Amino acid sequence: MARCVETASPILMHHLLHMSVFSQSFSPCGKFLAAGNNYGEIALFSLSAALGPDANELSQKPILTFTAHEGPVFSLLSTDSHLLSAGNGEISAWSWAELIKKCLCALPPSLRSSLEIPEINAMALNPADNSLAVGGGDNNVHIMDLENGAFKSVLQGHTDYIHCLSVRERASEVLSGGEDGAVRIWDTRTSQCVHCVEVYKYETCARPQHGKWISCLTTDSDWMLCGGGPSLSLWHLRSMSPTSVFPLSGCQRQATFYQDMILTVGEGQCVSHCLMGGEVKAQIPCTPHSINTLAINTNSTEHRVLTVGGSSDHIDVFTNLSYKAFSLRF
Amino acid sequence: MRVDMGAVTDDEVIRKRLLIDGDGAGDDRRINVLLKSFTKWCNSPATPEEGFTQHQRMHGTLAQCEFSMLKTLMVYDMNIREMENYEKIYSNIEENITSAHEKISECKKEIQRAKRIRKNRQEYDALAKVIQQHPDRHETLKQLEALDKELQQLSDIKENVDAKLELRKKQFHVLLSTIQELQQTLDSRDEQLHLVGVCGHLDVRQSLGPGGRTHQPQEGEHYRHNEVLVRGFKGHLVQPDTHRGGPGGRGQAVSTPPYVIGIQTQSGYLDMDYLYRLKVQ
Repeated sequence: MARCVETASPILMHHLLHMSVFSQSFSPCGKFLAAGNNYGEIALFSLSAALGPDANELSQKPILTFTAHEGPVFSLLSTDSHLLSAGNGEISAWSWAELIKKCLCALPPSLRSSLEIPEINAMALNPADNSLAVGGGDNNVHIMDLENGAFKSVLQGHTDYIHCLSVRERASEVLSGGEDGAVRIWDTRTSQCVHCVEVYKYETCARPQHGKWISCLTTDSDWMLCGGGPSLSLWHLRSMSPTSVFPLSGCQRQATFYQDMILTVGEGQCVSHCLMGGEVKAQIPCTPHSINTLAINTNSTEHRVLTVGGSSDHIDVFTNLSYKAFSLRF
Repeated sequence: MRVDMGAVTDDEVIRKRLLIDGDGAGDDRRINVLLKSFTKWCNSPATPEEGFTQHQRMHGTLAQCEFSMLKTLMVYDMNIREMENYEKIYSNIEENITSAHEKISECKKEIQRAKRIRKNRQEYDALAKVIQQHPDRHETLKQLEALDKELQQLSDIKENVDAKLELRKKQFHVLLSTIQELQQTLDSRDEQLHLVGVCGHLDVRQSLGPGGRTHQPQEGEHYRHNEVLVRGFKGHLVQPDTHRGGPGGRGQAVSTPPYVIGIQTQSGYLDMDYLYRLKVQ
């Protein structure tokens, strides 16, 4: 169901103006990008068309848009064959093969699981035991087995809703960060909280004017990046101590380790490149004013791009990390 | 068939003709002219001089034709050699391209390695920063040693003080037991004594009656107490506390420590020196 923007009806313009992209995920083959927005829609873009030599306006529009959930799609995750999307308390799995064939007009998702929680903010995949960690509004992390869709265990401990999740593969642990300002490390085998770090209590990181919530968490097995209300900081997990604090003014929403750098996005209108020592090497401007999600296509070598989405209907694509190449539009 | 051949060869012929003619206009014509003049010369009934000049002219034309043929041959050789040259250059460039590709992939691997090394270095730096914040191990060890020494010294002092305290206690014990013995001795001697306790007041509360029973003296009473006459006074009779709180001690509850400086007897006053001498005897 293609949408033509040329017939710019005021309702459509209004719709596009208030769109926010909350989540992104690349297909396992690396040629497609799925993006979820606040209207509950998921749009599929073809990267090979957009990056090809004969790219034009039309190749920057989605090849498929469908409504996946009633509420906003806060989290998207790709496994080897399925796209998992999280809406208000329900997780749907869509087959990538069928999405790519675009025969999705009236097809329900291949699997839909329901939790009695208001919203699902984050999902993380644990490839070791093929399980999915889901965190949301009920202050708990639920572990779901991907084989049969049943929920294995619940990790309880947070006192407020969970913003972000990350999986530490080497040690088979799940990290969760929440609104209560605590980063908790859970052992997946025993479902116990191994560590609890309250980031806002450390003077070097704390920014009381912004609050104590942790909205961004990522781990590299030895190191952890966390930020949000407190400044973005790099932690050494063995010694549980903050080693560097990054002087970024806004609240960071997503960060990732890439080669020897740290890429982070958040409230400012830019992607920040930082070094592990604590210095900000570069800030690359992009279209959305406040960025919610950052994704790097590691599934494909020829379409290795960085995409960012935020409070705009444009998704910026960076072919070279140093500058914005073009934008995909919803 | 012949018609077809004719059509094909016509094109070929036209093409060849154009090519040939493009070289130098007139070569073909020259050959034709030569041929015609040769046939004319062969068949001409002209004079020998004219025949000779025509013969010469024909030689000249022949020479021209040969010259142009030579030129064309040389051009052909040159073209061949040029082609060879270009072939060589082409293969050379191909090799260069492949080697450059390899170098590029090598460099990319190098860059990946270097990035990893850089990342490791940065991690070390970050950890080093944290470690630097903690105090040096040698310093801490030295401080620990100093504290240990101090502890040792203080415990030595405590031991000394304890020993001194014990010694003093023993000494006082000796003194008081001596006094107790003296009291017993005096009790056992057949003397009437007034025990004068000096500590502000004298209150004869208790005394050991005959047989060792406690006997509560009344004020003003006189009695014989193991041949010791104790005059009732108002005040405290302070029994020396030989074993302070110990079992079997004769000491009763004492309010103030005894400080006996002398004994008032009927015959006189015995001071401490005399008492001591008595004891020694």
